[in-house]
Amino acid sequence: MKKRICIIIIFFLSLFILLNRLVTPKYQTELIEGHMIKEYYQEAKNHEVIFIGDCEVYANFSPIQMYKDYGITSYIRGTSQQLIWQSLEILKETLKYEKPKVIVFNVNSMRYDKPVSEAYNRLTLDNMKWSQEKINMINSSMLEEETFLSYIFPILRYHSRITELTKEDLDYFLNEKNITFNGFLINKNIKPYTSFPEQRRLPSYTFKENVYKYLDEMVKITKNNNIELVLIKAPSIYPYWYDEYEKQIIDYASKNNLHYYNLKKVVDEVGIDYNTDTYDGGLHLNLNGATKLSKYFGKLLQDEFNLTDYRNNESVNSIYQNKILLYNDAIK
Amino acid sequence: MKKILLILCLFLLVGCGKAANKVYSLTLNNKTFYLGEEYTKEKYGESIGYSEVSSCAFEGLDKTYKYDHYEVTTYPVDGKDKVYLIYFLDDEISTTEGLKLSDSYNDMISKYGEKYKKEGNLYTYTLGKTNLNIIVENGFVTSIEYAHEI
Amino acid sequence: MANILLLIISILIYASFGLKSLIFIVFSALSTYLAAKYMYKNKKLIFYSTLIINILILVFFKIISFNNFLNISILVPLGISYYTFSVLGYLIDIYKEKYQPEKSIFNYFLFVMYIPYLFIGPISRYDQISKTLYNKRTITKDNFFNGLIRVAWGLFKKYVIAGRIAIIISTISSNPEAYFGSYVFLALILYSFELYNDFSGGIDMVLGFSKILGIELSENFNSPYLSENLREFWRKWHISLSTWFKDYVYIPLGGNKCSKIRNRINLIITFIVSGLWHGINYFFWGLFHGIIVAFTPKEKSDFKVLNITLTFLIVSFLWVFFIYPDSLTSFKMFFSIFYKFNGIDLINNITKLGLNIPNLIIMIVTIIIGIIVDIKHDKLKSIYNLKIDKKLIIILSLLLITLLLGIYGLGFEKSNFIYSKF
Repeated sequence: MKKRICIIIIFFLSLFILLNRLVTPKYQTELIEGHMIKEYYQEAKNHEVIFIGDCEVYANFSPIQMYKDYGITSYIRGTSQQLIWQSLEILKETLKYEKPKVIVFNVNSMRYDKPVSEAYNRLTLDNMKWSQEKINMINSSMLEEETFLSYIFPILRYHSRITELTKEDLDYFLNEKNITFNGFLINKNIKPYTSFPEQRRLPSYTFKENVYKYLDEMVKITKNNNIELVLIKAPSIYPYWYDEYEKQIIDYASKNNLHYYNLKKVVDEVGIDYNTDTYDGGLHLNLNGATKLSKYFGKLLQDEFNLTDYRNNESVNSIYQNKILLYNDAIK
Repeated sequence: MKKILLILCLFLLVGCGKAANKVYSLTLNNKTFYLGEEYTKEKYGESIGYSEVSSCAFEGLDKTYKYDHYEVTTYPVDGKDKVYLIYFLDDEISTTEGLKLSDSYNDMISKYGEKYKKEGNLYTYTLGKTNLNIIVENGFVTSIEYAHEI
Repeated sequence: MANILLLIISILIYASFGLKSLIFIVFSALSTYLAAKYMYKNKKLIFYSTLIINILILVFFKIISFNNFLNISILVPLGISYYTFSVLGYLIDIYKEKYQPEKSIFNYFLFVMYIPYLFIGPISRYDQISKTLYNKRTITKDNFFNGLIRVAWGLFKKYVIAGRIAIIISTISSNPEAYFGSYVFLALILYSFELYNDFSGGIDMVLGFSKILGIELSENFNSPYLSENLREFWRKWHISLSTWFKDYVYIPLGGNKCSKIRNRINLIITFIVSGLWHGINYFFWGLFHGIIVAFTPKEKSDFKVLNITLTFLIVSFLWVFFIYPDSLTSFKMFFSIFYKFNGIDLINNITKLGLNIPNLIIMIVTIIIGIIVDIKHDKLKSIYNLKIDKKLIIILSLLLITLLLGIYGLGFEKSNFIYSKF
C-alpha cells in the first residue's frame, strides 16, 4: 500500500510540474523581453563590461558591434522596465559568475521608487534562476495583488492560459531559442519622431531616498570589487529627462567619483537622426541607431577604461566569430 | 397609514442599493467628458496633435490627443480606447467644479474640500475609480489632471 | 487541550480581521453565556434584555451595511449574522429550558467562535454541536481522507464551477442598460448554479475541514434543486438557516397549529423576516417565497420532472433580487425577460460576456458534473469506503483540476464567499 501511495504522489507531482511548465509563457514569439534574463546563464562568462538597466540599455547598445569594432566583450543584463533594486540584485548575481571591469548603469530608473506593473515584474523575474538575489527581488518588487508562491509555482499565476495555449507553448515546451545577441534586442523597424505629450509638472523632482539607497549599494559593491561603475543616460526624447534629474545625477557622480555620460547630449556627435534611427518615434533606438551609438560608446569605453582587445585572444575570438556570423545574418 | 405604506414600499424598492458608481467628469463648452468612457472623434473633436507612447515591452499602449487647452490620453481595454487621463495645458479652462491652473490653494480647498490624499505637492481627490490630481506649488495650483484607474 | 488550542486559533484568525469585530463577538458570546448562567435569578428581565441588545446590534449592522447613503463606513463584524443566530438560539433554548446551560466558558466560546463556520455557516445549534465539538480530538486516517475529499470537492465547486459562472453574471448585472431580456434570463438560471456551487462548496469545505478534526457538523444542503416544490426546496436549501427560522420565528408565531389563514400569514412573515435578515433589499424575495410556499399544496403532482423544472425556474427567477443592487432594478430587469426577449442577440454575443468558447464549454461541462453528483448523491457516498490509495487519487485529481481550471488569482475578480455578507 505504501508503495502504491508513493507512486500516486510521484505521478501527480510530475503532472503538476509538467502543467506548470505548460502554462508558463515561453516568451519566444510574443513578449520576447521575458526571455532575456535567462540567456545570460548559458554564456561563457568572460565579459569586461556589463550593462544593467531597463529597455534603454537592451535596445540601444550592441555588444557584438562593440566587439567587431573594438574587441570589447560585453553583455547587457537589461530587462523591461528594470527597477533600480532589480538592477542591484542583477549586479550582485552577475558578480557570482564573473568579475567585469566596468558596470554600466542606465539611470532612467531613478525616477521610480515603487514597483510599477505586475507584467514587468514577470518579464524580469519569471526566467531568472533561483538565488538569494531572486528572492530579494521578488520581495521588493511584488505589488499588492501578487504572491510569492506564484513565482515558485507559476501555475498559480498562469493557470487561466490553459484555455489560451498557442502553438508556441508546445513548440518551445522543452527547448527555447535565444532572442538576443549578448542581451541586445535587435529592432529594425523605423518610426520617425512626430510628437510626444506635453511635459508634465511633477509633484517632486527629487529622487527618493530609497532609490538613492540602492544606488549607494551599487557604488559600495563595485568599489569593494574594484569595478568601475559608469552611469549613463541613454538617448531618448521621451519620457522626459528633467533638468532637475540631470543635476542630481551630476552631483551624485562627482560626489562619489563616478563617470556619468548623458548620451542625450551627444546625439549630434554620434549622428543619431530621430527620423531614421528609432523604432517608436524617439523612445528607443532601432538597429541603425544602436549601431551608431555602440560605435561611439565602445570607443569611449576603450579610451577611458583600458579594456582588453579580445580579438587577439584566440579562444574568446573563436566564440565571437560564431556570434558575429549569426549577428550579421540577423541584421541583414 | 396608506401614505406610510407607500413610503415604505418606495423605500424598499429604491432604497439601500449600492450608491451609483460616481466618477469625475469634465464639462467644457456644454460637453461632458467622462473618465473611463470610450474615446471617439465625434465626441472629442479633431485634435491638433497626436502621439503614441509605447513603453518598455508593450507597444502602442497610450495614445495622447492634444487640444488647445488640454490633452486626452487613452488606454486600450478590450480593443477599445478608453479615456484615462485629461491634462490641463493652460488656465483657459477650469474643472467642472470651477478650479483652474494658477488658482490658489484656498480655491482648491473651497471647491474640493479637505478630503484629499497628499503626497509631496500632489493632492489627490478620489471619486469611485477616478482621481483628480492637483499639484500645488507655493500656494498656487500648477497642474490639474483627471485620471482613471487602469 | 486540543479544544483550547482550537479556540485560540479561532480567536487569532478572527482578530486578524479587525480587533473591533472581536469586541462585538466577545460581547455577544459573553452576554449570552452569563445570561444563560444567571437566568434563574430574574428570568424574564435577563432573557429579554440580552435578546433585545443582541438583536439590536445585528439590526444596526444590517442597516448600516446596506445603506451607504448614511455614509458611515464601519466594518461589519465577520459572521455577525451567523453567530448572533447561534447565540440567540442558545438563549431561547435555555429560556425554554430545553437543555442545561453550558458550564464551561471555554466550551461556550468555542461553540460561538469555532472559526470554520463563522465565515459562511452553517448556523450552529448548541444542542447538536455540543455532542461533537467537545469530544476529545483525535484525527483518524478515515476522517482525514474523507474530510479532504469533501474539502477538495468544495474547492472544485467554488473555484471551477461558481467562479467561472460569476464572470458572466457580473458582466450582465453590472450593465443593465446593455444586458436585458434574454441576458437576464440566462443570468438568473446561471446564478442558481453559481450561488449553489459557491455556497455549498464553501459549506463542503467547512464540513470537510471539521471532519478532519473529528467534528461532525450537520449538512446544510440536500440537493435543493431536485425539489418538487418550494416547501421541499426550503427543507433542502441552507437547512441550518431555514430550521432556525422554523424553530425560532415560525413556531413561536403559532406555526401550523392554528387556522389555515393564520398559518399562511405565519409562513409569509417568517419568509419576510428571513428576507430582511439577508438585507433590506431582499424584502420582496422573502415576500414572494413566503406567498408561494404558503399557497403550495402539500401533495405533489405526478409529473416529477415538470415539478422539478418549475420549482427550479421559480427559485431562479426570484434570485433576481440577489443579482441587482436594488428592488426597482430587479423588477425592471425581471420584466424585461418577457417584453424585450432578444435571444438571437444573446447567441451572437455569448462570447462577449467574459468567457471564451473553451471556458464556456468548461462551464457547461462542470455544471453538468455538479448536477450529476447531486443526483447520484447517495451512490457516491460509497467513495468514503474506498481504499486510501483510491481516495488519494480522487483528492489529488480534484485539487489539480481546481488549480488548473479554477478562477482565482490575478486577471479575474477575486470571488468572495457570496453568502458571507449576510
